[in-house]
Amino acid sequence: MNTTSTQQEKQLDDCWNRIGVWSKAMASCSRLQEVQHCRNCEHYSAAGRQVLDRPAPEGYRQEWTQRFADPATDEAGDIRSALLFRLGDEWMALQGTCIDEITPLRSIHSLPRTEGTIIKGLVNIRGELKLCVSLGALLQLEKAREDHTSDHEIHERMISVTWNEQSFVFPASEVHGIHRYDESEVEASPATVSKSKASFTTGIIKWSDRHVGVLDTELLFYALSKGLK
Amino acid sequence: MLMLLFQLGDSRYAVPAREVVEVAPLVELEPLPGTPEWVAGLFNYRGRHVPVLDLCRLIGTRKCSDRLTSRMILVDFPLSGGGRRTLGLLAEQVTETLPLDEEAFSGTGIALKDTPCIGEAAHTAQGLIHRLSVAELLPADVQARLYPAGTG
Repeated sequence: MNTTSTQQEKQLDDCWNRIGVWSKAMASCSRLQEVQHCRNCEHYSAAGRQVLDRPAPEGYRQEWTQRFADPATDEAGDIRSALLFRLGDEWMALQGTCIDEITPLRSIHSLPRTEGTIIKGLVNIRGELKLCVSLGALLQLEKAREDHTSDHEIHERMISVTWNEQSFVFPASEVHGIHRYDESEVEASPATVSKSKASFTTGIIKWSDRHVGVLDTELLFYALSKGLK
Repeated sequence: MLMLLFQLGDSRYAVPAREVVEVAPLVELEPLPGTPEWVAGLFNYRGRHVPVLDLCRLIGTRKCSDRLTSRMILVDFPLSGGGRRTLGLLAEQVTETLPLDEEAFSGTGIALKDTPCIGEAAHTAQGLIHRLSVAELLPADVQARLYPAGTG
């Protein structure tokens, strides 16, 4: 068994280093015309499989036997998913199911007599005019104190949301993406959080080294629709 | 139809991916005395007892090799009396899936008495691929022993 595997390893032709995209000289392989990159080539994937085709190392079976013997834990939890985004200095999480779309910044057409409200104006999202609101104003967040200017242009996004047939768009300073967490990970908001923000969050989750407020979807949309009147 | 490919002896075989629950690495199995030699043993699958067959023994002639590419395919086995149970299958070279049309498979015209689970094959760019029929893997008497009524 061992002799055959060393023979196989010797036979392994690393053409991707020789004539492929990782070669020091010109990539001269004729297959590249067709497959664009070595990773799309069947020779490359066959070589990968060949590397995998070797005797199982010592302890491999025992380790997996142990791992499978443990009862399943991942199904027991109540897994939620939420979109993580930043408003100024604050990272927030909003239930994934109400997110329609995330788009680059669009110009906001302001509406008359909306000063001092949460309404920012109208935005054109794929030919559809949607109401743009300021979530920061609703949550009474303070202006950003940390310096985010270096990434200002790159990270700002518009987030379109719909809940109970009500649609809004709001700008966010940065969007991380969907984060999955277990319901049991949610902790109560600390008392130090500003009152209005705390009333819109159901709790706090930890994400890398940050604390993220989980927004109460029902309450948020209720407050948004009330803010329009 | 996506097929999971594997090797038994010198031939390629395939099982529809929709019948596969999980592809797991090789583990240590508890031997089951009084069963045919192609029953590899019992697997502790997250607290459940799952019988595992060695397909290399059942269809080929030797034991499944102890290589990283040999894996345990966990399939959804339909009991002849109704209901479904998880069944483990040891096979070699379980490293690939291939989309194949249902129509690509046709009867080989050879009825194998001992192994009714293979009877259809398809010609592909990779050569001939036999289709494994999961439902016909276990003869009635072995099924009754591995899955006594009301357990599993």
